[in-house]
Amino acid sequence: MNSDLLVSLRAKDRSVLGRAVTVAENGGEKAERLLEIIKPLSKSAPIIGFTGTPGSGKSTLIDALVTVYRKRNLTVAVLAIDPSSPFSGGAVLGDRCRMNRHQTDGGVYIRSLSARGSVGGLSIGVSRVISVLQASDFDLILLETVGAGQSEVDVFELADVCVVVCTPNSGDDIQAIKSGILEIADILVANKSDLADADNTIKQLVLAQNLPSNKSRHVSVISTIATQGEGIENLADQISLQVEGIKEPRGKDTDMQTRRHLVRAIARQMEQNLLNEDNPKIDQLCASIINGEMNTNEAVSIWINHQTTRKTKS
Amino acid sequence: MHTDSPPRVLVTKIGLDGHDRGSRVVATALRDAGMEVIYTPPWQDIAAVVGLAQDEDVDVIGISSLATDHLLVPKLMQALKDTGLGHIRVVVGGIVPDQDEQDLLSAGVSHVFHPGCSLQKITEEVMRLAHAAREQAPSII
Repeated sequence: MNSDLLVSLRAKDRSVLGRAVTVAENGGEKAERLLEIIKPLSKSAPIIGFTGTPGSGKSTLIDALVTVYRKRNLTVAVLAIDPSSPFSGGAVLGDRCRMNRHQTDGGVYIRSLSARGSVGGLSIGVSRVISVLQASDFDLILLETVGAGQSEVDVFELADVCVVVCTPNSGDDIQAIKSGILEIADILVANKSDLADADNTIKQLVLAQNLPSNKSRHVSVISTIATQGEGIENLADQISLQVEGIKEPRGKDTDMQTRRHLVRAIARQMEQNLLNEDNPKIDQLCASIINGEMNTNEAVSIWINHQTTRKTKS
Repeated sequence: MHTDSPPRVLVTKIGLDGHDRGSRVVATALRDAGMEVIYTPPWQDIAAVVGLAQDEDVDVIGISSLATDHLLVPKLMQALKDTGLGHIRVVVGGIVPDQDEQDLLSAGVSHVFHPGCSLQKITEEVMRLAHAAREQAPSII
């Protein structure tokens, strides 16, 4: 049965792939087993991350890029993440509305993922899902984050190449040199460049990239009109150049990066555990907060002390 | 946690009618009930809906029909069966004449929601069907 699974994944059997993604996304023991089974298949298709503000055109841009890649005979998997409701946990995943051309193309797999409460721009199980896509032998994996503000930079940890999508009228030249999302870009896309003020936006982005700094990599600024497919071939070429560049490990501080990645993964898992398991201490702290006996910060200190004492006892 | 992951529901329209306000209202209600809704533009063809259902691994497909597009639904049911997706529950909502309802149910549609049906009734039924579909979904490992 396991070998069937591997063959089906390799052949991009869409039903099997869809179910495998669900298992990986949901996590737990089943997901671990799945990842163990597919390990021998794992290759490393480049992961291209796309981030930017809501409505900047990420989905439309990806849709246009997929068309270009298909013309170049490359197979593509797309993960499109949309936010989950802070109230119900549900989600309307609407990225499909802009990626409506590839539904029946066997060389394209598109999956909508809910962030499921994650706040860094990605979703809880996304790295497991990527392992499944790697086992399915796609040439490229495109990863679209939720609409991001200034600091949702998790995609930098997962993607080999980060594309940050900007639009005209999104701020002046000071916005362009702030820390955060613009800093993680390998490629800056000035989308909707048919709008008024687009030239200014491009100028500001280029100027900000040309300020003297100790950054070693070159960030290119590309202007596109995703709805009309303009600039997309150029973007695809730039992505290829960057992908070739990363055969050498890219100039990031890998030790610190790995450490940060690991610690975050642990934190996410602990968060899920604490939210879902029966835990009298947590219940007690919640009750105290609700009764007004303490605030959240005090409760955190008590929790951490509680954990440390438990550890020293054992 | 994994058994309780949110139901996944595809809300879409097939055929030539583009009136999608109703499907948006329902999509939002399903979201508010904690489900993950994959929402598409109208005018999907049958093959596209099957592809979407496979890629997105949905538990329920909701077809909104206001202008006789429900007559295509039996074809969708057949296509789902042929693709090995018989476990997926299909519901239809909108304007479905009484004399057509039985044909849809005979073709395997789980439920037809008529005008005036409350959102609560819809979300409860979809939730129930999603759990039933998940029980029957083929396991890959």
